[in-house]
Formats: sequence, C-alpha cells, structure tokens
Amino acid sequence: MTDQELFDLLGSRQPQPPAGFDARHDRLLRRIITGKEEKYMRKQRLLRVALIAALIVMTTGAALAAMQGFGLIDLMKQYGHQVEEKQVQQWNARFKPQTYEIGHAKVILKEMIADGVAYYASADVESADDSYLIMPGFAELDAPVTGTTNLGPGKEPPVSYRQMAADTGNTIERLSIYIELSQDGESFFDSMGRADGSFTLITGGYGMTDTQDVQASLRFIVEGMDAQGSLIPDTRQDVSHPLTVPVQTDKQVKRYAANQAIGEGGAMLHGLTLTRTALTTYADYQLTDKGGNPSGEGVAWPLYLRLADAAGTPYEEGFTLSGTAYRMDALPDALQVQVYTFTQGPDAQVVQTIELKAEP
Amino acid sequence: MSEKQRRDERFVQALTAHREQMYRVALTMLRSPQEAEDAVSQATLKAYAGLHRLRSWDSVRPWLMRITVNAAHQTLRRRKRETVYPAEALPEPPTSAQETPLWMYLDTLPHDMRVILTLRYGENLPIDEIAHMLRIPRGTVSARLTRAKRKLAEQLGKEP
Repeated sequence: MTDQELFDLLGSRQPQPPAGFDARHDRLLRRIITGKEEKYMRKQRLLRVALIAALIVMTTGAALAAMQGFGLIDLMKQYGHQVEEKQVQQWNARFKPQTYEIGHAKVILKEMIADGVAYYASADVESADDSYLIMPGFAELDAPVTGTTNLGPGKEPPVSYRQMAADTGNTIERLSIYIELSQDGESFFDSMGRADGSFTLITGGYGMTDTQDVQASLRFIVEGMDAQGSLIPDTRQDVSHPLTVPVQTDKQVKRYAANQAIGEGGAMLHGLTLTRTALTTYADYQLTDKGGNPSGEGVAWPLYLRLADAAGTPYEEGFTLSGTAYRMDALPDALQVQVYTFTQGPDAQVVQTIELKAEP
Repeated sequence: MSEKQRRDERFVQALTAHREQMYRVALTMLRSPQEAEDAVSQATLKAYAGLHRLRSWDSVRPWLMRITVNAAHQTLRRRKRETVYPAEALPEPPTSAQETPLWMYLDTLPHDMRVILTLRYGENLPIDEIAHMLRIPRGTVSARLTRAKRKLAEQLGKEP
C-alpha cells in the first residue's frame, strides 16, 4: 500500500461536525471575547499562577530538593490537599532516588508515588558533558530553555534551545523519558527549565488498577540534533530499565446508583463510583449520551456536573493532574450531583440536583 | 482598533478556520461526536486563556491542534480506558465499495495506530507536527506509521 493510496483513501474520510456545531462554537467565541467567560478564565489564570508558583519552589531547590524535603507532596499541598505526615514518611521510605546516564545526560528520578489510580514522578536532568545541551523530548528547538513547557516562560529573557546551542556551540541532544506501566506508556508532560540548561521533568499517569507494587519500565530515548532540527545519524539510543513503582494500597470504594436524565437532551447519569485513596478521592461518573453511548462529564454540554454533600455544599476539588477528584475526609453515604452551566464559571447557578445514596 | 480587539479578531479568524480540523482530530481520538465537540470547546477556552504563549500567528494551527489533542487526552484519561463505541456512534462511512472496507479495517486497528494514520494521511499533517501534537519523538511517529501501515495492509489482505 503506497503513501499516495493512503492519502487518497483516508483523505476522502472527512467526517463533518454535527449540525449546529459552527453556531455553538460561534456563540462560545462571542462569549469569550465579550468577557462573559471571564470567571472561567480567571479561575484558569489563578490555577496557572498557583502551579507555576509550586513548580518554581520545587525546582529552585532542584538538587537540594531532597534535602529541603520539597517535591510532589508539596505540590499537592499547593493545591490545598492535606497529606498525613505519617503517610509522607511511608512514601519517602518506599522509593529511593535513582540515577541514570543516557547519551550525554544525567537523570535523577527523584520521586515516584502511586495510589493505585494515578501515579506521579519527577526527575532532574542535566548535561553530563559541557559540550552538549539536553532538550526535553517534547520541546521544540525554538522553545524557551527556562520556564515550563505548558505553563509559559520564566521571568528571564527567553532564550531558545536553538539560540543557546548556537551561543555555546553545544550539540543538542533530545531526551524522551517514558514510564511504561502499560503497552502505551506515559510520557513526561511538563518540564521546568533553568538558565544553565538543566531541567526538572514532571509526569503523571492515570488509570492504574494495580493494588500492589508494579514492575514497570523506565525508557529513555536520546537523539542528537543539529541546529536546524535534523537528527544526527547513528546517535539514537533507546534504553529501558526495570522500575518498581511503589503503590499505596489503602483504597476504599463506594458506588452510588442513579438513573436520572441530565438536562433535556437525552443524557443519562447511571451511577457514580468514588474511590478514596491515600492521595485523594476520584470520581468516576457512569454517563451515556442520547444514543446510549458511554460518555464523559461534558455529555450535556454546556451543562456540567459537580459533587456536593447531602446538605448541598460543593466538595472542593482534590489533587489530581488528570481525571476528576474531590477532597473528602470519608466516603459519604449520601451526596448530591449538582448540574450547572459550565460556561458560567464556578459561581454558576445550579439548574438540577440529583440525590444519590451509597449502595449497601 | 485596540490591541486587544486586533488580537481577538485574529483569534476568532483562526478558530473559525481550524475548528473543523480540530473536531476531526478530536473525533479520531475519542470516537464520540459529543465528546469531540466538548474537546473543541475546552481547547478553545484554553487557547484563549493561553493566547499570550502563542509566539507567532504563523504557527497557530499546530498550536491549536496540540491543545485539542491535550483536551482529548484529558477526556480519555477520565474514561480511564478507551471505550469502543458502536458503529452507529460514528459518522456514516463512505458508500463506495472501494472505500468502505478501509473504514471497517481502520476502525479495528489499535487506538495509537488509528490516530496516527488519520493524522498523517487523513489530515495530511507533516510528521514533525504530529510529533509535536502527540508529544512523542519523530522517530516514534515514523515507527508507529510503519507498523500501522503494515497492520492495515495485513488486514486489507484478509477477508473481513
């Protein structure tokens, strides 16, 4: 099968958006630029600032992080998530920082925690050879060396990897790191770079079902690159190391049955499963769209869902970098699902309340 | 016209020009028209909130696509694992006798192979841009494409 045949065949597969897509999107654009989405934006900005602050504190310590005790646990605290000291000590005791050398990079995997649903890790990366500049695998040549990939540049005047390599005469080496818990693996999703070219990678994965320590794989792929972004032949290395992921096993699960319509468009809430772990409480809604197909929490967009206690007080969001989580001291026997208009922001009026009780 | 008005105007122009492709990319990953539209809405909000990070309007399309992929990934993570949607949830396949089998076989491929084939050959995106969107090395994109093409060819060589 030639490339041209694939272009011809797949290029003809151009599914059109559903009826009304353009009109709905136009309305969203109008709301955004007229400021009616301001509350949502403000919330996003605050979250971004909070996360940047957390990451800056985390990485200014970089090599000192272990000594200063700052790391992922502190990142959780920045989110307002309370973590028991005893649990923290237990986590710290179960993972020991590990150092790896790959290509011309030195990597210290300094933290790795998992609660049986999600896992988080951080790693410090620096060049082990003054003539090489190490670049995160998902960064671009013209991305700033300092600051975070996802959250914006740092305060320093931005210098790109391309520019820094040109200024120093260094060869660029692109380093990708994967923690492979499953066939697909999960790549580091963000980095905080420092002016000397070193950086801290932070990653998270979601969807674990293991309740015991997991034998995973830590995979490094390194490739040399010239200043034009072309890979240098014969520089690629692909190396894997075994990695034991310590899993916190104390999980409680409660299921809440429901058979309620969400809004008037045919979406249904069939139930809710809450999983309380050492880190947070994850919410897994069982929803279907009007066609009866499994769907996510945006099933009745722009209506959205949040959880409240039986008296109607919304739960605060719990620590998670993916999925949906709440802060709960214990799994309740009764609670509410509140339906609100997402685009009106966190202060939106509740348009529907669904009472749920835990199954015996 | 103020700086903000000019910026907003360009933002609306860019989103209007690229939203259908954002939708198709999200649909390829999520296989649910409803969730694909949600992902486009989420991506639009995030793009506007992060507009200050766009370095050049020349690169607005890959930037929007990457944000869309992130939004779709969030949905996938929320589902915990990919749900295989029944065929009726997907858009109607072409009726041509030559094309219909490809649809059938493409939808039987694993998620990562299906996504990468559609992005490369359905959306005609360059390998660099796919690597940027999916945050994987270019070599990984090429390797997955090769595996996906081989798998598709194997499938097409068999009776359905």
